[in-house]
Amino acid sequence: MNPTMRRLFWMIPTVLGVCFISFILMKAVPGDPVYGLIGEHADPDAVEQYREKLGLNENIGLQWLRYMGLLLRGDLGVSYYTQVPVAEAIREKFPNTLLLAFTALGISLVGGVLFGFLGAKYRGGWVDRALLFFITLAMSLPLFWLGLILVLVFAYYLQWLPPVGMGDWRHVLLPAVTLASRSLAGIARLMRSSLLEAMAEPHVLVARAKGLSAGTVMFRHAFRNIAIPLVTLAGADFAGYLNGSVLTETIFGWDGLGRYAMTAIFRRDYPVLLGTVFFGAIVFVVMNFLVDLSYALLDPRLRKNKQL
Amino acid sequence: MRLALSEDPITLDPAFITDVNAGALSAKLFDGLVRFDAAGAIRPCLAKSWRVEDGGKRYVFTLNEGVRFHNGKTLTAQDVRRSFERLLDPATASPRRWVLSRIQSIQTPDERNVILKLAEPFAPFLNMLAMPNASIVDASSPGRPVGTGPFLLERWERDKTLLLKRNPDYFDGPANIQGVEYRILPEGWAGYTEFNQGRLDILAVPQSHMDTLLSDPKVAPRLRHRTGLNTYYLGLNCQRPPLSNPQLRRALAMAIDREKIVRVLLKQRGIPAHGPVPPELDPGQKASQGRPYDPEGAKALLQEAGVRLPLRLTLYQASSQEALEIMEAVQDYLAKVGVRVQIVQREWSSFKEAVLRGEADMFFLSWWADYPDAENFLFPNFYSGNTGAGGNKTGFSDPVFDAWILQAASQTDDARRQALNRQCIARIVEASPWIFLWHRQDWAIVQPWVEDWELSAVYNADKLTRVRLLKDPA
Repeated sequence: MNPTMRRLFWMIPTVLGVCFISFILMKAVPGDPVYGLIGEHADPDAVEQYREKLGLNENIGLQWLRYMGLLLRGDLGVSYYTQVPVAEAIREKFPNTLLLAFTALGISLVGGVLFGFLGAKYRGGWVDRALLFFITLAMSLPLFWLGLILVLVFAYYLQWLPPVGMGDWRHVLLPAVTLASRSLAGIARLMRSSLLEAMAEPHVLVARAKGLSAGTVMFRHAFRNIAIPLVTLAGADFAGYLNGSVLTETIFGWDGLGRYAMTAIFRRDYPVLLGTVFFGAIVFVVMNFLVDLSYALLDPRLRKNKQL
Repeated sequence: MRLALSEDPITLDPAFITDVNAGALSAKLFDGLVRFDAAGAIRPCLAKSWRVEDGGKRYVFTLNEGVRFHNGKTLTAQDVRRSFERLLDPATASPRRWVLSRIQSIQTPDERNVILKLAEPFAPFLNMLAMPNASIVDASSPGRPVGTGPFLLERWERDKTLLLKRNPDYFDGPANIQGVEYRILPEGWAGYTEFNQGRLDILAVPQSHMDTLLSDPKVAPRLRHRTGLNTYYLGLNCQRPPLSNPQLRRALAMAIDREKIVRVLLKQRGIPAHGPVPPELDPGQKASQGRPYDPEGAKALLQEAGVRLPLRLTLYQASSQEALEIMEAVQDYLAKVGVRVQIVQREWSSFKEAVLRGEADMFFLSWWADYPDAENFLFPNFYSGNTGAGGNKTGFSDPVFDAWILQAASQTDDARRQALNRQCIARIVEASPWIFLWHRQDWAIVQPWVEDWELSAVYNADKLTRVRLLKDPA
């Protein structure tokens, strides 16, 4: 089999494996969707009736097979709570997650590359040290905390931006910055160290010796060597964004996949939970595949050797 | 008008509504035969008038004329019958069949009259007809049920917004406002910030901002408050030792200073509870009827009960920072009389499972009234037939209480019914299946441009037909 095809084929067991593990975990943790559904004051026989209706009384193996049957028919089931088909809800919410993901990717790439470049250019100077301080901070702050602080400052005190919800471009800023913060820091750090390393390489030294300025050399020559690790890093982060960031979306009331999954977790809405995990696993393996493909585009040597 | 909801309603089909958000919304879209006013009294709605006959076993309702569903169909007695039959039909599988299950037969002698017969008289029956589940729907139309209410559902974006549009043909006169936009804002601070920026017209004051707002004299005229029909309590597992011993339960109740907990931790957000039923629904209530704080008495009782100290008990609570603070206070009080409490925090779904399975010795919960009647506190929570999902989570079982509460519910004479209710309450206080903690006060804040709006005692009383806005929301 052609290596590309082989990789494509292996995606299937990977995705199913992820679903299976989630299914087992979901059933193993305490909590029961029925109690939430029937409310505080129900008919005494309501619990049994609902369990029967939702198929929760069946043997767990049978429940899994039933779910597989659904998947084969391209169906993700129906939410216990809303009665809305899970696939339909994902279709509805994915564009929102996509918008947030692309904005965050943009911020982290532009910011990360710029900061990394500045850090390398002014190595050891106060710019570099200040950037290093912020990078360390961004990498170590928990996202939910950073998100809340941003809301406190920009929505609460300054009242420049809306605290939560969706609407115009102003709504996307705070969640996107929160989401981007960590990979922005990661990219900046990678950029800085790789640039410094690359600047010491012979071909770069030659370029410098030819009389090109440090900035030009960095972008024309050194930057090319960094493309692959950069794409790997940003690609993995982006796949994470695409699955919807559970924390960021929940804090900012962003109606995407992450918040959808979060609500399902609290309600024990099994079909929604499995559906979002299934979709997320697919997004992840596809993104990884695309990242691998892009190596060939970025590095001609890989194309020739057919290592992909 | 722009309002916030803490959670997306699970469903807007009246037969399946079990949560407060959906119940409040359903009152805007649907009507019942009768409704609650702001104080919780029964008022006519789709039924213009009614007679109670045959010693409380027969209710004859006369419908208003010319009422139309949102789809243009005219309301008839048949629609009432079909709506009720739909809820009662086992095939519908509603968890709320109990709301109407006392109905023995439904007759519709003509287009405008409905006769409901009960097997036995049931005093709070009209209250049940005012519940969201008893809304009248056009059951003949497929898909989402259609109502007659003052607003129509224009758009529902799950987990985001609900848009309601005024029903210009509302039988009781159209609402003053054009429509309502509900936004789903789960976080209290988010609603508060939105309100401050003028993007919400009314806000239920979030716990986190209660102290700031209540102490601000500028805000005071825009605050509304009302004691909610609720009781916060510690449930004691009556089905297994050691708490199956009523003497021990009484001792625990005496060891906790709820007055101080309310004063220090809750401040103006609650009033101490002296029984299972809030004072509004229990007019004869006195502070002395409960079990006042008496740690020495508690110790004596424990000794009398022959309990070997230190006693170890588990206390379950659904994870929340505020609840944890209060439970730690409880833990401290009980430690002083020699009871070591281990607090177990669970998220809501598994907390509820643990409680219903009887895993917990003690659990912290609240009960919110479905309708304003003492019966709604006493019957679901303490009648032995309701053990489990029916509401009785402590597994309390007392044949004497069971007999009394059934007797009280079927009593049609108000004075005698109240006397029986008082007797039931005294029995519960004596047996102590709950340690009563407090009744929560509801607080709301309105923008200066909101007029003619007040907090209602019951969550589904407000149909938003009276409120007006002095400026058009931008």
